[in-house]
Amino acid sequence: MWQLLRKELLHILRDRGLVIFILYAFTLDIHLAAQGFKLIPEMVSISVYDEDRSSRSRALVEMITSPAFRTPELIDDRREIDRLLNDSRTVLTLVIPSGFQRDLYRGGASLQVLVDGTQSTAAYLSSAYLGSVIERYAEGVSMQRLEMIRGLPRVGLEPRIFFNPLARDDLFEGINEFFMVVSLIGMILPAAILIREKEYGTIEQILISPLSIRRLLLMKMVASSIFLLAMIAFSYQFVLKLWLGFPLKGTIHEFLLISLVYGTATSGLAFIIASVARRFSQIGMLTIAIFAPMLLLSGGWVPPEALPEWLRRLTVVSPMKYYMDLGIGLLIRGAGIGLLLPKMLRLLMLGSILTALGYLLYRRRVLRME
Amino acid sequence: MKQRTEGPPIIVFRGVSKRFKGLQVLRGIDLEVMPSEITGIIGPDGSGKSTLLKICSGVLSFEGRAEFMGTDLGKECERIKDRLSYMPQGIGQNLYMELSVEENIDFFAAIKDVPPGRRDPLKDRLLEATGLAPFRRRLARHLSGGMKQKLGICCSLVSGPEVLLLDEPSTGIDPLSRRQLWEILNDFVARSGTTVLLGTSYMDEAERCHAVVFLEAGGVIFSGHPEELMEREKGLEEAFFEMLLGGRELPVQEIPFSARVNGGDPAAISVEGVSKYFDSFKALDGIELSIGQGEVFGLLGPNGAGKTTLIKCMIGLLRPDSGTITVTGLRPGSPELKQKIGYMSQTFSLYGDLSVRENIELYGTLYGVKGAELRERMGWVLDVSGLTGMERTIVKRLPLGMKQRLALGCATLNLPAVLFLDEPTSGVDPVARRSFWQFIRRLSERLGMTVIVTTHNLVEADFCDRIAIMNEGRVIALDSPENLKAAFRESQGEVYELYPESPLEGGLFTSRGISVTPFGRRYHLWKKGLREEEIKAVLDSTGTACHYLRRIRPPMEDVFIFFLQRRG
Repeated sequence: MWQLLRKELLHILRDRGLVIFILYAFTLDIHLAAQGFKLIPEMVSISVYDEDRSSRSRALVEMITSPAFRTPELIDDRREIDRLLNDSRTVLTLVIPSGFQRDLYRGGASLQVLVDGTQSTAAYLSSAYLGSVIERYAEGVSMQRLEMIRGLPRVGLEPRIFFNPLARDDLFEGINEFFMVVSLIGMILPAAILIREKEYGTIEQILISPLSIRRLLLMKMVASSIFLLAMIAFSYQFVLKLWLGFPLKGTIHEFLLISLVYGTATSGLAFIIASVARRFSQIGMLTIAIFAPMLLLSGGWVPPEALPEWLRRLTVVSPMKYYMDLGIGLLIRGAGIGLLLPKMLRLLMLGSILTALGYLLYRRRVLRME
Repeated sequence: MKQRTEGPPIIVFRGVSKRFKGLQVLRGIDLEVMPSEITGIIGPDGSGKSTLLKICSGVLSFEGRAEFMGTDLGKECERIKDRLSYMPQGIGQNLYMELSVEENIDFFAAIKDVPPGRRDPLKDRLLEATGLAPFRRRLARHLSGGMKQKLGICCSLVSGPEVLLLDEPSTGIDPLSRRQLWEILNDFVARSGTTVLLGTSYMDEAERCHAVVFLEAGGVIFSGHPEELMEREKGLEEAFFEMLLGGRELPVQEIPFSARVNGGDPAAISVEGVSKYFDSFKALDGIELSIGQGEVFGLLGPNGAGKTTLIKCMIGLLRPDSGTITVTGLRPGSPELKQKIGYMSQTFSLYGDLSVRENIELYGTLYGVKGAELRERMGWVLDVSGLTGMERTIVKRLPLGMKQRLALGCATLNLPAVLFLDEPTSGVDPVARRSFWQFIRRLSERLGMTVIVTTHNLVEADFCDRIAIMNEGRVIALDSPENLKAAFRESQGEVYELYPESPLEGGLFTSRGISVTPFGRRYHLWKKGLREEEIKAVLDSTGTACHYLRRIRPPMEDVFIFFLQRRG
């Protein structure tokens, strides 16, 4: 038994490319994802064409500051606007028409914002942010004038954020990426060591030997789970906690337990992949083919509420959805394992079904070999 | 036939050496390749055959001096590229798998600037000669190994090269395809004066060459005409071994235990009316066989004849659609039988990322061989495979011959009652092949092991107690090699080898109904009831002088093709 387990572990450890990829995914990739994703624009290039040249227009321009924006480039010539946009030198151009100050005090000033929509996300984010800057400016002007009136009805909004008090988006993005890495590696790893048998032609030797396919798959599952859990523990301690400084709740043991349950589902999917793939190179493609819809259904990219009704119903079959719910529940909300138990049982059930299905498909495939 | 020009050599090597990553692959090679001849580069794996051919093709740098038609290969290798064709080792390596047969040939013609007017007649002739004509539109990836290899040759020849370089062109292809391949080569040499340089590890192919160069560990140990070595009844293979071993005996692998593997049943294998279909294709068609205990039994046949399918049915990897098979009285696939068989597939099925020792241990685990027993057998397997001291080497770094021996060792680790070997010697050099067979014979004699072997290499048929020749899913001949040869003689007459002093006139013998096959400078002649006097009379009447004329044992290849064609 130990010999067989050792064999599978050796298959993993001796595949240098695979090990490097896994190490990268569990360390740098998560770090990059956490640091790289920002929902606030950063150092966006902006130009301003100020026709008004009044004290009010200057006050507005002064509010366009870093870190969201670079120092605005002031232009004197209207034709310059097109040139800058065409050369992609600026993402945004703010046009302040002459008479801006006058109209402002009359109660009806307008501004023009020109946006380079090539990079739609950046354009959307930065123009929205500029909008909020202008709103704040307008509010400031209004307040100045309203200060004389007493008893004006006002609503003060003071949000209090739970579970992630600083509303760090690096926390969400980092954890999200972590779950994705676990899912991807959880599928690739068992599939990779299973496809080796086909590539070496050793599966025939296994088939004619007294060893059953069930035992073989079980060993592959155990070996890849051991490796995966070790990587999860490592990444949890050193990347999430130490390097990124995430304030994680729940214990690592609880999290490993959840991951182990999830491993039954990813291994099952891996067996399905390995029963279709012919070569190692096809595993990557097939993994993506399964991973992409699973991710869509998991709420990793899009909140499930934003999905159409029929798709939302389908989220029940995405094991990743359970894993993310459980993981976020444990790590961010700090829910106890007792609270999460029903969902864990459902994940275990789904995992068992997938594993059984993977086993049957793989068995059918190898027994029909030519 | 065109008279051979005894002109200046077309390729000349003087002290050519090559080093790869500190390993001396070729050391001081002197070589002369004569025009319009077939020169064979013969040698074991890793002796430098491929490297030598690559240097000739101008794709490798080297030390020393090499000339190709007077052009210095070290300096101006670009200039010769449209005068030669090179076919690398490995089946279908130079082909585009997504193109059809015809498209592949057209492509190779196009890159060598052959105009369609010159291309088309040549293409038709090549397709006709290789039997590929009916498959013009078939994609290369849907061709069998033999067909791919023949197409590769067609692609190399369509540019009408002056020199053709072939690296192990007949490895892994069946005898019929091999024969066609040699017919094309002989035809091009005779009609177009093509010069052929080919690497091979098959000795029977070496006999078909005009000149041979034996390589061993990067050096030339013999260079000359094969006839110089073939005295009297001694074949080239014998001569080569004597030279290679230098009077030493091939080390004998003793079996250090006195076990008898025994099925308990007098018939090790019995196959009754077995058929197997793949969709509508009939892979096996009512096979009847009975193989006795301790027998070394060979399954021979062209690609797609059903040899591998039959073996897979016997070991339980495939289930026949009708008929019954019992192995040592047991049903294939049953747990009791699984313990009692060993199997080595064409790909040697070892774990490439595990070490030699880890592979052996794993096989031990699979069959429950452990403790002292495992240690004893591991020592034996290491000894047999010549891998003692290399236990920690990762298997994928081993040369092919060693992998083959290790795979054989692993397959016998559980001392099976019946051992199945599917093309175990494909691509393995002559020395390794010889010691392999010695080992197989010993397993059968000392342990009473039954061994079932499939092979393309017909020379190996002689090592079997009995052989079954298969074609299109049927057994078309079943007997000992001697009896099959006797049956051939009975029906086709004796085979004579003639070694004339100068090449024969075309049609000299064929016009008299005598079959002729060229073997380098020699010819094999046969006809029913042919006697030596008749040949002598022909030779005298035309005043043809010859070195010798002698009766020979019919080559197994001729026997094989005879049985194949007899049944249509």
